[in-house]
Amino acid sequence: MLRIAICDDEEKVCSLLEKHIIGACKEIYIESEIDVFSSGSTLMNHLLNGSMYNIFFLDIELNDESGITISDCIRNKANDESAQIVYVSGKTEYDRKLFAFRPFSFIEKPFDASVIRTTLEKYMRIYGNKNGLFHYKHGHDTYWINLSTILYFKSNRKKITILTLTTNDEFYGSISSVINQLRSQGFISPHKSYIVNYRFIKVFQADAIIMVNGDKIPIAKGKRDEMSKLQLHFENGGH
Amino acid sequence: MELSTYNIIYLISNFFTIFILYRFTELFFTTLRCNKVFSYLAYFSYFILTSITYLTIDVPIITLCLNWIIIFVISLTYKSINQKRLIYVTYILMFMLFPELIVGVITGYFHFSFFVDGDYSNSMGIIVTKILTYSEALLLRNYKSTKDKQNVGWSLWLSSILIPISTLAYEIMFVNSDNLTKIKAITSIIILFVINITAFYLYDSLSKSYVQLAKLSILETENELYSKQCEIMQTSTEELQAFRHDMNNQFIALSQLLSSKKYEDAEAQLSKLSYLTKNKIIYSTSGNVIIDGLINYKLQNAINDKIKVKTEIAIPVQLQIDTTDIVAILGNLIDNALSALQDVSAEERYLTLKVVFSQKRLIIRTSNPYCGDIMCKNGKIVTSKKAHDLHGYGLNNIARAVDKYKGYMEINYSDNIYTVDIIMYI
Repeated sequence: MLRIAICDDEEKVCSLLEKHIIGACKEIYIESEIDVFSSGSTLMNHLLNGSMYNIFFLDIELNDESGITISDCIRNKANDESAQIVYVSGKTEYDRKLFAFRPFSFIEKPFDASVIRTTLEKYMRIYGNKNGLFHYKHGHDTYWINLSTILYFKSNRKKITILTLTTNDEFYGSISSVINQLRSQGFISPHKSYIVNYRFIKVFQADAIIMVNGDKIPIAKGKRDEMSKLQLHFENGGH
Repeated sequence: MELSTYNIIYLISNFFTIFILYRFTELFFTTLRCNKVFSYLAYFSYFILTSITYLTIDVPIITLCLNWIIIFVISLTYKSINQKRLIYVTYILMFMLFPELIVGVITGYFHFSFFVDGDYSNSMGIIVTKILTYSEALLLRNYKSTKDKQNVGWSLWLSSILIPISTLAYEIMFVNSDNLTKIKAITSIIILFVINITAFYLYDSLSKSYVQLAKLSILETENELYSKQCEIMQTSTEELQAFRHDMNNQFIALSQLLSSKKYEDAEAQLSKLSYLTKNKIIYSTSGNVIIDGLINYKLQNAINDKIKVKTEIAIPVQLQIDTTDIVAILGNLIDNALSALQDVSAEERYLTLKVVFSQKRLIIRTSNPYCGDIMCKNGKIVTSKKAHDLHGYGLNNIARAVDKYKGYMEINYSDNIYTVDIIMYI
């Protein structure tokens, strides 16, 4: 289930967005739940009360709040680094500050159904359909953890550490078996000892990846081209 | 006190040492932190103080310490931190001592005729040492430039050795000739040093002016793009005004169609209107003048050529990328696409252009249909149907610019669609 929030002060834009999203979800077989907000402050109140969404479609210039304030609320007040933000705007000059919130994409008004579909397709291409869980054994007990909370996996000989934004845990296993469990769910392996959650990457460099918590993950020399290729596949899709 | 020939030669070569020292200092320290005059004074004090010490005390260990101290004082006139200064000054001293040791060893073992005559033997030793040290400094400078990714041509490498050595060889032959007077010998030594100093001074000022020329040409490209962008904006404003003027008439027609309930005609009219707004000549409005200017300029004839252009430009107003690089990449990509589209039938012409910045990467894609054959050699595209020389050249330029940012380029051509994907880390 994909939870989607739409926020625009133009009622017509909201309903058009909703219509196109529902249409696209049907076409590409996604289950979704859409909440529509006509003001920035109502959305922010909702977020501060604990509502979570997978994707936000945000107008950059609302009457009451700016896209920057709302994005700041999502990332820094509600502490949601996992959600994807799509900016919808009539303006095409984008403030550099917006880029700091790791936007998923920009949609230019007026838009048509195909743009919305492309955006949702890109989401599915990177993060997959499943809102999956990761299972691992610790002693005799089996634990599970929501994939969208995992920052990265790090292996140290036979032990693997799972790092999330708040906690760490360890279990015995191998990186390759973890990779198999995470196929097409937005994880990449830039190095033989690391598996990284794509949605928590703050900066991509040629030889390293910087996570939202500031951790720097090296990219193995032999994997640089593969990583660039993978990013191009995620971001641009097929031909 | 009258100076012996040896002492005069020593003083002359000691003066030349200022220039050697300058070359070495240049290797480690780049920007002055005080007035030029102070720096020159510091260099000159090297000459004065070491000369006085030589003429009065002349104890090697003291000379060495004095050298170290003065070079450190010289380094104080440059921007740096003290730890680095301590290390670099020691390096400089070692570099300067190295040829001296070698010459010492060689002259200790071999006795050439021109080294025998008391005075001259040591004098030649000094000159050989100084010239070799100078050549060493030049070679190190070239090495540093190469490491800093500046292009050092083989001619500079060669002349860094040839000019000092050949002038030195000439000098040796000259002082070895029969009727040599003291004046002649000293003059020839001065000339030797002057040639060496001026030759490379000339080279430096020439290369400086080349760099300036290159910078100017970048500025020119930027200016050109700015003015093109202005022109395009001007045209589009005029078009917009004409469109507004037309709009009223269109609305009247539309409301008449609606009131007479001719809905189908009204819808047709409406879609014509929306076509008018979409039929724009401004494809990029990111506010980044260079990229907007380039894209809009290159695509200004797209409508006339019946090319459907679809752009996705999401970049901040300021991008940390050199103008020349982005112009090389986008300019060549669009040129290639446009020339490929000439062979495609008018109904099928389209161009997709994507320039997106996210998480400090720049992601670029162009995609267009093409006709004809594309040949591949060692994974590199060598020719398309038309103007293959130009294409290969353009792709090379793109690849070079992408490499500079440790980026990655992928070219795909299948089902008669040619797609270039680029990622750059900036």
